[in-house]
Amino acid sequence: MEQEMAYDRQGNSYPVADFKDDYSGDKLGFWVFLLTEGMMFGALFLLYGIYFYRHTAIFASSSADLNIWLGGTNTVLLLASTYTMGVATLMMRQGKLKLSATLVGLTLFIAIVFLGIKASEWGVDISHGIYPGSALLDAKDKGEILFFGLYFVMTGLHGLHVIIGIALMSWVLLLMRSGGIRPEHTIVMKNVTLYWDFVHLIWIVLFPLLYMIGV
Amino acid sequence: MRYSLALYTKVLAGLLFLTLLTFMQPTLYHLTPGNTAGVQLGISAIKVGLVSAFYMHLRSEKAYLKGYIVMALIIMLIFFVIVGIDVAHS
Repeated sequence: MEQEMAYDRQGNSYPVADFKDDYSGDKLGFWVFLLTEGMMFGALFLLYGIYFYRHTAIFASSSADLNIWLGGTNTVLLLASTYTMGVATLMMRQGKLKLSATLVGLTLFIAIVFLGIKASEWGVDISHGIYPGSALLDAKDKGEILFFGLYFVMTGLHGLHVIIGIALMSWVLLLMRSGGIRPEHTIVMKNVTLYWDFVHLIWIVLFPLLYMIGV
Repeated sequence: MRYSLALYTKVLAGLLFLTLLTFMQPTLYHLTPGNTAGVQLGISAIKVGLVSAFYMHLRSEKAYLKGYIVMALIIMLIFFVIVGIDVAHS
């Protein structure tokens, strides 16, 4: 049987002894996972596009009811967190472990603040009787029911990804402490950074669709 | 391609500028909701391109990985176009 080969970060081939520490394979596998996630959110964006086309004016007026300042703050926060997580991975590769851990901790903190702001936004909407299935929302125009239904589903699914991101970053911090992540072995950190970038990418598209069309 | 703190910071500056543009666009050019969505998604597409090229390192990835991503995007685009045509004519 022909010897199976794998490739390291520099592209040098080496025979596969087992599937542990396969940098290219680990990264490719994670990208395939991210593409399936993209397909899932893509279906929601398509659904949004269909209903936006059919209820354009109502979607715009419903969008104007959202708090653009809170949504905008969250946009800047996620952008900053993508930067801190990316720099954390750079610093790890340069052997600056303490700085790297601090930056992951900062990213984690920003993610929690993001969730807090999103929760307060939801809290205000819910206290005003705006949530899927509420008597107040059900009495409104069909377009408004659809807009807020999509708003809660899309931001809820995105929020779930933020929670998973927080869990993954906590795990990264633990691995950094135990030596599971070190300058010459960063694939777990690299993939968690890719995941966090993906969470940011989704928000980059979500924010204008939900908050900006009614300004 | 070598990724450095300087490059990451330059990309961050670009992303912040585009985010500012996102906020300013409705004030600078008051458009219909449909056109606003188009312009806003255009700005988003540039931001997505910057993040994926530089922060997700796609710019320096191997051709096969870029191929997988392009293939997934094309498949998604086909679905979007087919459903879009159906919705527009129903």
